[in-house]
Amino acid sequence: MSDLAELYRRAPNVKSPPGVDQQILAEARSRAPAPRRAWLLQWGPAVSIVCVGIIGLTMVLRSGVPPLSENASPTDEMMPTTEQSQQLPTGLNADVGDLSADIAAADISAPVSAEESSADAFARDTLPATAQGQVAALEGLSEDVAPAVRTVEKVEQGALRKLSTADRATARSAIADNSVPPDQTALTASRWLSEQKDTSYAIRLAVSTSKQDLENLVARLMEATSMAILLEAIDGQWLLVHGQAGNRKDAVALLGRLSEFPDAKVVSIKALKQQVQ
Amino acid sequence: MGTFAKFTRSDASLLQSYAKSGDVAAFETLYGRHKDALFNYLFRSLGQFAAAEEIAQEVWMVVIKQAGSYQKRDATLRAWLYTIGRNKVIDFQRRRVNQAYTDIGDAAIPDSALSAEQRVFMDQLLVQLNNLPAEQRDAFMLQQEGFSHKEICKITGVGSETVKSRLRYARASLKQRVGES
Repeated sequence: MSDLAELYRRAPNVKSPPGVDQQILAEARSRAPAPRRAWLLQWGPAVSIVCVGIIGLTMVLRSGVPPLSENASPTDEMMPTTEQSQQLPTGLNADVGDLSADIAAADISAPVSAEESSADAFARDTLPATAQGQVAALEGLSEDVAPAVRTVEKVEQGALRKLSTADRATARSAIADNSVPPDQTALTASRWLSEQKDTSYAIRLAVSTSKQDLENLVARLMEATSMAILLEAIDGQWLLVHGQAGNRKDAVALLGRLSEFPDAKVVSIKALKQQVQ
Repeated sequence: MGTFAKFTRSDASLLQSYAKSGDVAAFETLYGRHKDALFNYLFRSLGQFAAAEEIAQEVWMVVIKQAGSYQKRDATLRAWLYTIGRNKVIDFQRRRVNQAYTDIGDAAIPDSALSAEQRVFMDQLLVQLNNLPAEQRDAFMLQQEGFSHKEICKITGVGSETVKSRLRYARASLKQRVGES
């Protein structure tokens, strides 16, 4: 080892060729975001506030403020009269009437249908355990990731309710011990994963990135592994990647690619119950 | 950017200036700091000059595109660069899976780049590196590039014990080879 280390140190260093440097720097120049105007950033908000103030003051002075009636409260003045309400378009009045009738007819104490009950029961059986794990995981998350995880929770609950009974059974088996890595970066998750047994994995990742970066990310994920992945955009900022890797190697490969995207956060990795033979 | 500031600003700060304000000079400084070391690492990993050129461009393209989303808390910028580089090297090697790791005849370093003596050293190094299994070579090279165990764990995505055992195995396999010869 020491010989090789010595050789490693003594061997000449090869330098980056000037041609490559020029190409990279040219690319950096062409892709550089336009410089922000410092003046506008510093004074823009203050100038806008002053302008809005002047315009508002001018309008008030020109029109004059109507005095409030002595007997009427401001709320009374803002409420439409019965006559004004009756002037609503006929169709709209009819719609409002229909809605009221529907609400009156609805019996909110009645049990939901059998299919919904089953879904709710499944959610009750399954989600608390999941939620517990994710609450524990949330403690280790930075503040900007936590809302995304909560959104994931909601999306997952909604998605589970929509599943057919058979699919739900599969999903139930997929949500196993809920082993969530303590730190949610792709690198840590990858490290955690490399120390697990070789089973199948269901992976959910939350990624915050721009649209352009998103395209790169998707391309890289597709390139990295043959595993099926489902992408789901949330709030125009977070991307959820649901994936199912047939083995640990595929899962590690996927996470390895994600490490190129420093803001990619792993929401959860769940080992499927069945061991890969 | 003043000369003093150029040398004192952190990598993360330079990248941030480029990403947020389009400060190309900041990117040039950053590029100047890392380009040769990264290229050298890529060349030694791949054993081919042309391939190293291609991969270096790909790595820096990722940096340019991802500059806005780089966050310091995950890893140092240098570790991030090498993580991307390592992944690109693995991709490249997968693409040429049927070829030998390195064919010294194909290294094709430009004539002006190295003297005859330096070329001998380089050939010896590439042969020795080629003799190590990929994972052990990875760990060894990153260690030689000055990364700590912790950083190697981050770059390779494996645990500390795994890194230590890879380095241990690399040492053992080299000893065995020396014994055989």
